[in-house]
Amino acid sequence: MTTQPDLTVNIGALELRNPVLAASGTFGYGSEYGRFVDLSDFGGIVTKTLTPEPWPGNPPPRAAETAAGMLNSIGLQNVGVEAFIRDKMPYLRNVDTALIVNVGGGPVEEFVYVTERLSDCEGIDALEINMSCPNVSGGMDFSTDPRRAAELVSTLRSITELPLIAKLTPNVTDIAEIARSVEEAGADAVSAINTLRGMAVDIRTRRPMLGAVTGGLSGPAIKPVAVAAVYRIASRVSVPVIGIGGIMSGEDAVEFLVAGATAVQVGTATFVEPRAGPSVARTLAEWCAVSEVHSVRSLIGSIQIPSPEDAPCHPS
Amino acid sequence: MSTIPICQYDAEILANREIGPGLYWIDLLAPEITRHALPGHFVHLIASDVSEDSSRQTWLRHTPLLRRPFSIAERDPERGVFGLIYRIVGGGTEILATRRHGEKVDVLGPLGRTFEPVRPGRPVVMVAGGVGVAPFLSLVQETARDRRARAADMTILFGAATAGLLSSEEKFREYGVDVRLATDDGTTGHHGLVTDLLEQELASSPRRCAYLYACGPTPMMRRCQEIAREAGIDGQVSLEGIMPCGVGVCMACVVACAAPGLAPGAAPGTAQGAAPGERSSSRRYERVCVAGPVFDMQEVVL
Repeated sequence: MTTQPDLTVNIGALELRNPVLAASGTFGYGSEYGRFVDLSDFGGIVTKTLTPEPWPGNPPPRAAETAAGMLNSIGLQNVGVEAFIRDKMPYLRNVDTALIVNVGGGPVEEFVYVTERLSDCEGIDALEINMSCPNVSGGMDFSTDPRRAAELVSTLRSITELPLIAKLTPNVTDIAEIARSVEEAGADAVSAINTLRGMAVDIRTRRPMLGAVTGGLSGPAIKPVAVAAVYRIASRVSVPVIGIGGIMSGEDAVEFLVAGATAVQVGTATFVEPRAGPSVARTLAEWCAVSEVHSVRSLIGSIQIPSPEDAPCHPS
Repeated sequence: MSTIPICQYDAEILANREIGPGLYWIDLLAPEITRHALPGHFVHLIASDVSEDSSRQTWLRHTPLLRRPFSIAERDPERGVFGLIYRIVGGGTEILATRRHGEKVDVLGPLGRTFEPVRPGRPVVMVAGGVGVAPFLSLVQETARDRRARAADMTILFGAATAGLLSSEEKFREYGVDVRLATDDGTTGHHGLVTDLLEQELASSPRRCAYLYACGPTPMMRRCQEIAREAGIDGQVSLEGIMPCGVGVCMACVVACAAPGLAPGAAPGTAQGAAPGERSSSRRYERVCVAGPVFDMQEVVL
């Protein structure tokens, strides 16, 4: 008989009961799915990006289905940090899972404002910095420039005690370089990847499928891109990496852990299956039990790269 | 937010049959959803077979990926069965049409905001375009169940491309609803737009048009808004949208609404061609899945 595998992992000082988090922007403020999904089955939840003021978002249409994925151009429509603290935190404080709040903004001062307001707020376990939303022009491309990314992180590092997770965009030449710079600036972890910039056209009308013309691609279609990003980041940094991109099953989560992730976030899958996160955690546990893996920690970064002499000769 | 519980069901297909060219009726066994459903509610379903005994990878089972929203067209609380109407318009509905009696469909519901009930002594007109007829079947059925209101106080103006797509009109006649038809190709009823019928009805029997409901293609609903505004009639529209989550989370299925202070029906200044992320106080977007799909007639900018 196998014993229950140990699913706990650590993101810095924060211990999670399992490595499965709900991804920002796909889980609202917790209460929407909390009506019919047991949130304590998650290792944690990451709430929708907050800006200082309520934000109207982009013109519709804001989503389009593509092959094994979807495009979105929501444009950070959110209630603003004050309404979040007033209206959403009383519920979230009583949820029995780690609470990670995603922080956004235009200029640095807006990130600073949101971070300061949240740091004064009891019940938050960590902040994830949205340095990389592809749907907002002006300012939110911090994670495409290593120097600006580091400046943002070190500024926020100096004003909060909360663990900081830098969420990175894949829309760069070298995501590992950005990860290195935010680690040096004091990030406790990095999460990757945000959506890939994408576009779809209605050839009948010759119009873009999204009101904002381009948007971000998510879902199973981007999983290999995300696994590669996690692998490359994990080989360059020593802080935990949180893998995001197309995870729909426990096996997908194992793949990310083996590639170097300490935890994962489930996003688009939740739209399809509201219990996708708990289901990933459960099937991850089942996989570990069957595979005689006693702790998921032993999976992290356990990738076996064949040495060149073992590899078959391949012309490329 | 509504207090009606959201249920997720592996609903058994009791019937899935073609009722017109490319037009289908599906009956699903889901007692909890059926019990709580009201006219205007919708369900969010996965068209493909996602049962876990499949050896295919999760993502492959979930192709196409997203759920599809459908208005509840009819319900039988005793049997725990509700019906939906759909037309094959893409990959999801094409797969749904291949699903057989006895198979299971993953359904989430009932979702959304519902219609104002038909009030005794306030005759209503329903304007339906194509599969937009679905929620009105539900409205008529509920009205007939209500001993105070009468289905005879209801008129439906039902339009579609061709006569074969109007097959559900029979159900309205059975309830004693006044039925007028329109087709684009003239195969039955008025040869032209269903909104022409609305203008005729307002001119000939204004007393039978005290309240208006509309559901169908956007140009049809826009014209209904204009006609209702000119005639000074209140009403509601039922919308659809590209709807990834269906429960108010993803913020994708939004519709522009007149901001407070703007004239009813006035376009939000920046709804068209606004720079992504631009701040604007004249713009307000509401989620079709939780603020709708039923909205007050003049509230939305179509």
